[in-house]
Amino acid sequence: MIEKPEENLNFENPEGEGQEPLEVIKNLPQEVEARVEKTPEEKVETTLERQDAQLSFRENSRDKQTMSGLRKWLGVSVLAGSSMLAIGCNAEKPSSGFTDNAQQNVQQRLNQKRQEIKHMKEMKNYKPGPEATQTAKEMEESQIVQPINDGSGFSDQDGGVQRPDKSVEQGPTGRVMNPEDL
Amino acid sequence: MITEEIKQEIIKELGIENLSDQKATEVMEKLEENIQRSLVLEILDLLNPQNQKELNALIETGDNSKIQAFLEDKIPGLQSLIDAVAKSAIKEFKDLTK
Repeated sequence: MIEKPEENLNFENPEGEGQEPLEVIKNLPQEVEARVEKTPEEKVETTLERQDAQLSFRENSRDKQTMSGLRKWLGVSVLAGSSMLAIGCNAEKPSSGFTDNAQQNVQQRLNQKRQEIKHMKEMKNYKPGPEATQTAKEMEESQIVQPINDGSGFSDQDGGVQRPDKSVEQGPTGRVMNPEDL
Repeated sequence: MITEEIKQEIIKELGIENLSDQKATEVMEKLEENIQRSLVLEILDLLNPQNQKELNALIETGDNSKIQAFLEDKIPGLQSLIDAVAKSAIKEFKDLTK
């Protein structure tokens, strides 16, 4: 004989009245919060907290003193009054080479002066070799047959060579005119 | 110290112009700090244990010019690294706050 399964074994309290609710149910929020869009401020804070948490995790395995020293160096030497944010946003002012750091400024000018003196000394002691002398001579010679620029923008019809015996007449605009055109 | 003009440009670039001036300044300070921390970690990642020991010794002397010379020697393209870390952090911030 098959017995019919009983649906409610608690015959004394079929409605469950007076029973304590389970612990899980007790902890449930009383009202279900509607999912709302985060405000810009909340979004920003969440993002910064997230970045902070990631960095803190990575920093755990590092030497605190080294990190602190490096951050100090960053502020003094690399940024020197600038900002990582400005670098990241391409908002940096173009550098003119000038720095507010007086010591750095003096150092830069000293280095520049040293380079100038070095260059001057090199030029003073410079003696041209045979090749350089020959090239210079060729350049000087080639200048003799260079066309003279009369400012008209037109080259001489005879291959650009200025002939001393050729008489040249200019029009009102400065253009060289042929005798037949006059 | 950044000028007001640059500050406004940064605020616009970060997309936080709708925050109050005080809040925007707080966000900028925190983000700047995060970028610096990130850069320090990147630098340390690029140094081997021996180099890190040498760096520690230099940091103890407090000579910033020596630290600079050391890092420029050990990390070629240090300036590019700084730029890349800063840009990456800004991009991450902008992506997450969209």
